[in-house]
Amino acid sequence: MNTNADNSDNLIARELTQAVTAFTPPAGLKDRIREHIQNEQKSSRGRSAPLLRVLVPAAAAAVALIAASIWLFPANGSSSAAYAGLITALESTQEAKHVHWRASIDLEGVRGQHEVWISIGPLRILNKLPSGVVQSIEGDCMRTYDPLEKTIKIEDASSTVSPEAKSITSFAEAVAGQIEDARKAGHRVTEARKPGLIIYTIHRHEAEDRYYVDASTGRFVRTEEHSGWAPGHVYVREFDYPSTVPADIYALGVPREAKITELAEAIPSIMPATARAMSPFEIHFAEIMAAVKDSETADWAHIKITGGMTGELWISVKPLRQAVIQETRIQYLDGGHAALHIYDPAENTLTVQREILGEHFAKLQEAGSIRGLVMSALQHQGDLHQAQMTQSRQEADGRQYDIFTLNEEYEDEGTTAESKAEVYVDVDTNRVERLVLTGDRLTQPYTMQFDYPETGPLDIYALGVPQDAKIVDLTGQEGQRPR
Amino acid sequence: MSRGKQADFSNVFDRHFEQVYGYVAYRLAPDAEASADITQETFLAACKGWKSYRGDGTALGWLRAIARRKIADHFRARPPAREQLPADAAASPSRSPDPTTERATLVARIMRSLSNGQAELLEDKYLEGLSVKQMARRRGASEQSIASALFRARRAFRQRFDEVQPNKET
Repeated sequence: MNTNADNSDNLIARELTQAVTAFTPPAGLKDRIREHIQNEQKSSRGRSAPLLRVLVPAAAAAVALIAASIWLFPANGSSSAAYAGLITALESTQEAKHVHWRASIDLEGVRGQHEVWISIGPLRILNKLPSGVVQSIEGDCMRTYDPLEKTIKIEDASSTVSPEAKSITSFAEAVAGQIEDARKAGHRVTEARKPGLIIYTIHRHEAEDRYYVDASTGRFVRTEEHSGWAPGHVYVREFDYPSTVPADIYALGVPREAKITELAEAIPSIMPATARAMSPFEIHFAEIMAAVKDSETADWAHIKITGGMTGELWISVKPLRQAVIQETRIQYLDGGHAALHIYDPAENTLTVQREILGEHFAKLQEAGSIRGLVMSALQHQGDLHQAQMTQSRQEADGRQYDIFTLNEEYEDEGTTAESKAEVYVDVDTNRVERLVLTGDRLTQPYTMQFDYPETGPLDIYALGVPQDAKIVDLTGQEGQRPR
Repeated sequence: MSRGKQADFSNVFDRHFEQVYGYVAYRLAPDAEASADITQETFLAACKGWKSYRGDGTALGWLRAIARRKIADHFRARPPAREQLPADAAASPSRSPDPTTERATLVARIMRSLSNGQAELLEDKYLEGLSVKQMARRRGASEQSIASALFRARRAFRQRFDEVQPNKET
């Protein structure tokens, strides 16, 4: 029996391999296609992206509602009423803000159901497959949960869903052009009625597609589609229109402890940086940014640094203030007056400067919020080579923390450096609690412990600088006390 | 990380043109005109989608996947006549001067005569070299169901092949 199987294996492998090498292209075809490609490359520079690029992998497609409209080919032999009814039903359906459907898969031994939720404005797609794979597309981020590996792969979805698709306000808008094209193609459409239902049938050569419309709502409740050249296969979807959709993949049963990975290697290796809408770091960044969203609203952050570096600082972004005590150094950045105050305890002098602020001042301003400042601590100067992030949840001292662990390889002065950052986020407050940074460019790891006071030091004297310290004013505004 | 993959689309086209044409021509055999058209459509679609290619499979596998969709579209618009396999291809007089292409055409007809999804399963296994696990993931199905579907596909191919090539293979 095994011998027969082996024989069949060898036979099929050989026959297929020979079949795909049996044909040689006609002369001139390669040059003709190359010319077309070059023309395409030229013209694509000034062209907007297609409305929706459907690349949802792993079985039948989350955005099939839109794709299905390609199969609506009414015209020849149709009654105009049947055609109009079908279009109206499509538009009624597409106007729904949230759509959910269950689709049966019956593909030669592969049977099961998958479920899809779509909401628009903003576009969010959730896809649950019979194998337990769960997938979401939201913004520029596509997450795919693999139940076998218990991992969540995060990918850049910017090339999957175009900016135009993200901004659509109704499904009808999205499919209008496609229907117009379909109108020209031509297949017969007939209409039948049953209690509470109108059934439209599109007769496509040997196959038929049926669309069941609720007579009272005018929306699709069921579709049956034949798969073209696969006779006997029917793809059935049953629709409903919920008031909302699951918030994320976790709402569909994905365990929170699932390890998060992404395609950090693949993205930069294939596409130049300029072609990428989102780097792996930015994808991670978005994950952590979302987790620490309430750090955005903090007026002040107080940070104690311990380990390979020690110090204490307070930061306020609006207005910009930064107070630092590090060993014997005490300094205060007053963004409102664009002045940096530095106290020298040995000389008991207080120097006031402006010119040296430069890039540091710009970075603080650019961060825009405490959250932005926290995130800037995670950024490297050099190009990112590789990144991997895991997420876990821990309880300590009666509080719950989400811990994001980010391992990265990056370019550092012509060599590859490694770093690890652990971001502890308080689940209740959605603020960063602790940041632990390790790396082969650091002599020792250090920890930044955060709290968020209502206010902080309003000048350098609040940091313990003696009132009688001698002022050396390098700003050209001598005689003024630092403020 | 393989930075060598930073080849542009033109290189991919040059490297894989013949292989993609060969695949399309076999699937559409003996329709040479359609083969040329679908090959062109495949590469134009690939060119447009190059940005979305992530390199998580081979470039040839990606191109073949696009070609499959184009071929499916082609058959949707122009469904093939029901495949009538010759009772004994070996006994039939040759209509083609090239026995290799004639044999490939016969294999294509057998593949087209299989029921839904079976041809793709066989191609995934024997052309793309995918494991059952990979095929299961790609389809969102269990490995067990893929393994059993693959078994039926293999058996169906073998039966049809033996029908038209009796006593030629053991």
